[in-house]
Amino acid sequence: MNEHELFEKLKLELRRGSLVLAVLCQLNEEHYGYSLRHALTEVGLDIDEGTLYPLIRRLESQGLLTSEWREEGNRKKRFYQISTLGLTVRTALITEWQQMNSSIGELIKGDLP
Amino acid sequence: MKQTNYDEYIEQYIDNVSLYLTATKKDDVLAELKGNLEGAFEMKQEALERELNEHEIEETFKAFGHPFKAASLYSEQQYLIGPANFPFFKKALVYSWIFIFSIHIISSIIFAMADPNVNFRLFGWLFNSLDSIIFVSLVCVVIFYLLEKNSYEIPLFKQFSLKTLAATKNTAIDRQDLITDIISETIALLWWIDVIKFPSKITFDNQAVMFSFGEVWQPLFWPIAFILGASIALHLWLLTCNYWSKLSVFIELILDMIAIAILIYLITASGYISVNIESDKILDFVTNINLGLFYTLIGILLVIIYETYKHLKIAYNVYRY
Repeated sequence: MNEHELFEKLKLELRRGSLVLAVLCQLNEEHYGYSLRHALTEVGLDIDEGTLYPLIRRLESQGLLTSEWREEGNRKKRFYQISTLGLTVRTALITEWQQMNSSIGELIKGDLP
Repeated sequence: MKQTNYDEYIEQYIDNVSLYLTATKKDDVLAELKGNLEGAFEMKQEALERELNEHEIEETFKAFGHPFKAASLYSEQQYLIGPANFPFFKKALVYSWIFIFSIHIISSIIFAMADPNVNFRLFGWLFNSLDSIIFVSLVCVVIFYLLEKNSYEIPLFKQFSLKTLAATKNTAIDRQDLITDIISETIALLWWIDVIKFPSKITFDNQAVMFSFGEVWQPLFWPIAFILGASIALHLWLLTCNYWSKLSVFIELILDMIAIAILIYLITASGYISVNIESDKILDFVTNINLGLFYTLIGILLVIIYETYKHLKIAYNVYRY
């Protein structure tokens, strides 16, 4: 594995870990699968379909999201939104994220250009 | 609803995905996937402000992946054995392979030695072993898959204390020692039950002299066969363990004691071998052989006493913690 491949692999792992939090934050307002992907891409988080759609289904089955089938533009779509449990978990995850961000920030301070 | 140039492709894609989905939530998954595909196409068209061409349609489907991959992503379990149970699975495989190989080696030697007309075929033996190994590996995979499916984590090494850490350090199994024991015990057992035969006829003073066991051995046939058989079984089992347990060291010590008792009985007896010819010269020769055997038995006794001392030390550590 060359340097680039190694970097891509580690980048993927890094992003995968933060994906749940990103989805929970974005689903403050309801989205169906593709519109959620589009919204995340717009804020700079490009996630492939194969990762995102199974993830939102998993989060829904865990009770962190609620879903509802609705028609939009004559097409049936499943809309997702964060649940009450999801809100609680998200708050805890945000605290964790901020702590980690601060710790990592301290660690890399010396390495910044 | 307005018919678009990609609708038919979406139907085809969904039909293909449905082939790989199980009945559970199939319709739900397909409907959702369809909604997502339509959303993807609509957004692309809106961005381009025109209908998509064939290449763009294909690229959009490719982003969702091959229908088989898309379907598999919706499966609940994406792996056979997860990281929590994988170390145990690996160990189970390795130990079952060692066990199968040992059984095949021993049984092949027994068959080859028992009947000189049976040719020992190396490839036949290898393929037989391979068959058993594949079968056992499959059984292991199925068992661990079922554990994983039921979210069962093997709790074996979840709990440990400082005491157990100290105990394991002092009671680790020496595999080299065990393998030496297994080989010597197997050869001894095969010889004892007449599977392996050493020459019992020599020419002495121009006469063919036949040796046989003296009467002293007669009541010991089954005790010795039992001791050797039990020792082989115990040591094969220990090969699959990392540390001595209370039970294994207890059995080992019992076997040591029986072996010592048998050896003491033999040392106090005489006439270990007898011959078919009676003459002064040959009887002198036999007396010398019996004397040699007497010292050999003392040597074996000393080795077993030393082994017993080692096992007692292990037992002390095992029972202490």
